[in-house]
Amino acid sequence: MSTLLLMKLFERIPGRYDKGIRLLTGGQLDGLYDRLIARIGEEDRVLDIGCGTGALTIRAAKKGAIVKAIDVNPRMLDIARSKAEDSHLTQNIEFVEMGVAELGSEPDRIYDAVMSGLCLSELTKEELDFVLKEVSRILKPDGFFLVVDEVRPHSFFRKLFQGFFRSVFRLFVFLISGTTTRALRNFQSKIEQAGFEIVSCELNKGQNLLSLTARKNRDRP
Amino acid sequence: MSAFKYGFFYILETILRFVPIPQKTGLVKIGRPDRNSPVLVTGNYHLTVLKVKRALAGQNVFLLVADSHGINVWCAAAGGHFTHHDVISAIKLSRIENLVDHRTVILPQLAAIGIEAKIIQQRTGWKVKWGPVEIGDFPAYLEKREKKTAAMSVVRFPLRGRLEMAAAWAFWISVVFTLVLSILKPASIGPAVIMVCLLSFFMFFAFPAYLSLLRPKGEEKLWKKRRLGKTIFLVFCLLLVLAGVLLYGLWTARLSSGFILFWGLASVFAAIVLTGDLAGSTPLLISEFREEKGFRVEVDSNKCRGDGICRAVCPLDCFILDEKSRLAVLEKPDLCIGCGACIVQCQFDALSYTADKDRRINPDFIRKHKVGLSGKRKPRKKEVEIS
Repeated sequence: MSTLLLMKLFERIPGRYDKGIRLLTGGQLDGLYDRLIARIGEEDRVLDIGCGTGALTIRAAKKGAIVKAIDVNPRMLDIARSKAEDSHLTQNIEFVEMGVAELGSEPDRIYDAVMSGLCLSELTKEELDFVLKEVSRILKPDGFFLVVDEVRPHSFFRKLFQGFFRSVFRLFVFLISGTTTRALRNFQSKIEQAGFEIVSCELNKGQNLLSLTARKNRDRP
Repeated sequence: MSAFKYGFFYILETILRFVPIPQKTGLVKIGRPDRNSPVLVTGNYHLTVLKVKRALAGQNVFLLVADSHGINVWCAAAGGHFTHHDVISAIKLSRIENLVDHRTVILPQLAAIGIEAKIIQQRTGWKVKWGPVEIGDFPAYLEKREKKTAAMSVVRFPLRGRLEMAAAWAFWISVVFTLVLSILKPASIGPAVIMVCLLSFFMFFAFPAYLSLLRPKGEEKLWKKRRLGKTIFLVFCLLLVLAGVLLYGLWTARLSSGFILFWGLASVFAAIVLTGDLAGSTPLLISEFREEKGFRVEVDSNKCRGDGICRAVCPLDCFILDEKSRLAVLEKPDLCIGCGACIVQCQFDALSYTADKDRRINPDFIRKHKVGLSGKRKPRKKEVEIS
């Protein structure tokens, strides 16, 4: 789904982001998100990295979790906030405008789950490495790391196909929105190296949208 | 990097100007920096990083390449792609605090439009200093113990910058012509590209001659006068092109009504694309593609404390500090391009965009939405909060 690049278009107009993403992913994202939060329970403490308009945040809060949702885009946060107000979930959610580089201020082992939807692929390499390390630190033992994101496909032909479409889309999206995204590479092995055990992993047909549930290794501090 | 390699990327990326080309982010050591060396931040546009490294050759500096999504510093900051969060990330993740004893980071002045120095200081403890506009001035800036001269904080549009802009426009319009003509009239591709290049280079070369037409005095009728100035210039360009077409036709002895019609239309198209947002293609004028045409920057003298940050970040040197009152005065409103850097940086919220009938866009709203009169990023109409 190189069309996920197009989400950049909608980020420019946060008001349309949700509708746009639903359209781009043919609705498969909703299903993925619903399944992703299956492991989140009532009273769980959850961190949403790059909450955007709050798709995962609201879902988790509806299950009774206490969520801290962070994002660097204040306009997206505004939309997420108003969605939380509409669903009467404001007591359960704390929205903070901050980037992943500031996760260092979170205490050790306080979260039951950390989730992230379509955010990790927007980070720089240093940020991604840092996030994996920090998530492992702030999760409780046996805590879950839940990720949905765009990845580079494994098969050669898919790679070629996606590479071609991405380059065309890149130009097009850039001309309108002035920005672009990068898909994650070798994400599974990175996450294992960071001390997680992959519990379940689901790739879409196009092999480029990954939904992953990982558990923090027990022997990690 | 060899001069040849630099030249290659310089030409390539100048032509491809409007495409982002990201570079690796992170810490770069230039020379042999020590614990007192300055720490400089730049964006991760490939050509920017090359230029910065080239300009800093021979210095001892820590360079933090922050994530501006492969876009140059000014555009990225104006469009909300290069914010304080990217700078905070670069500072924290590079662990630069272990390498130097001071806590001052020098940011490119043009980034002031989208980066809130206050937040960087709150979250990292690092103080922000706004460096020179042009990285080429950096060695002189260091020599002056990190003090800027007035010339260092002003944006210019010298011949070189104009030719760069002309090359970029000529390239993209030529691409369109080539695509269309390869179906309609492949034999005309060559002459069409030449026509586009001549027109584009002429327009940007002659820019100083008609700058005053596009930047008339008197705020009220600015937009009407601007349109008049542009029309005069457009007609002038077209007459030149048509004269060229006639000569070309006479020379090749192919002059016919169809010939004149074809080249007439082609040149009108090229001229319209080039003049469409001529002002916005220069750093000296306000883009015409914006909604808030009535708005301009205004100082609230009740809130101003005269700390002069507006003066320090203004790329067109519009402000002075009044000698008696020590308050900021927008002395040259005609030069103001409404970039909003002063509004974003003023910690007393003394500046705002204000229009007639007391319509005002608040500083907080401007910071959040990256509203800038010089850029094209603006909130939807219903989002505009006017008080």
